[in-house]
Amino acid sequence: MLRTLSLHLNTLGLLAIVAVLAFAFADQVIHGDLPCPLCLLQRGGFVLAGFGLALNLTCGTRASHYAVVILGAVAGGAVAVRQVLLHIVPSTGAYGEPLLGLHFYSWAALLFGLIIVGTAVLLLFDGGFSRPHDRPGDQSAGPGRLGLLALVLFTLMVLANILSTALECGLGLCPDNPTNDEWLAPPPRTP
Amino acid sequence: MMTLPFVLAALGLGALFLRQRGVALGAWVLALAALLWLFHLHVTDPLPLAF
Repeated sequence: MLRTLSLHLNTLGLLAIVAVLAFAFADQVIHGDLPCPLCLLQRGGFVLAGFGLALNLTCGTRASHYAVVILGAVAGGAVAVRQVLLHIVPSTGAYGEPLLGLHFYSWAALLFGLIIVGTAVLLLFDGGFSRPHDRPGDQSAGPGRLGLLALVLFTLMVLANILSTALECGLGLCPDNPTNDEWLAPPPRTP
Repeated sequence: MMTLPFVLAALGLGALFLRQRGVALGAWVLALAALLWLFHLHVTDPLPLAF
């Protein structure tokens, strides 16, 4: 019972992370807002946190997989807090348009905190973990259709981010304030 | 280079689909290290804080 509930919650969590990544991606494509390097690293933090949920869905729920979620969220949260601090003083500017009064990096900091707290709550329930004799591939330990859908969507979002990041930054580091895609429209070279 | 965390995560996900948990975890550790390294490279501006 608890294990099934735990798997459902992991599925919902992964779908929520897919929604966050898809929203950021949609904003980039629709409004043409190129993500800054710290924004890209925050997306990476969401991917690293979601990876732990994907581990739970494919290999069974384990405390170590929740640790993966927390460590990914801490890394992403550190990047988000750094960007919040860069713009926290009034009249020091901001990056991108706000959404519901908060900029994306502020939302990211809040969401990473929420992920950490939510994962800690899931860790409270010992009955939610897979038993040692559960093998990957068992029907009881499988992700289910919704879980499989979440896994596929998550993988697609990761692949989409590889493509968009490569187009924006090329093979090197991204400029702090990107104005154009490095590979689609490289900036004119100055003599 | 900024694609590195995503590429490593994608490799890890590929390993997950093949049920190679150890490989997936290894790819995740490398992705985390890459993310922290890139973060270090981009933390260049001083924070505009004054107390």
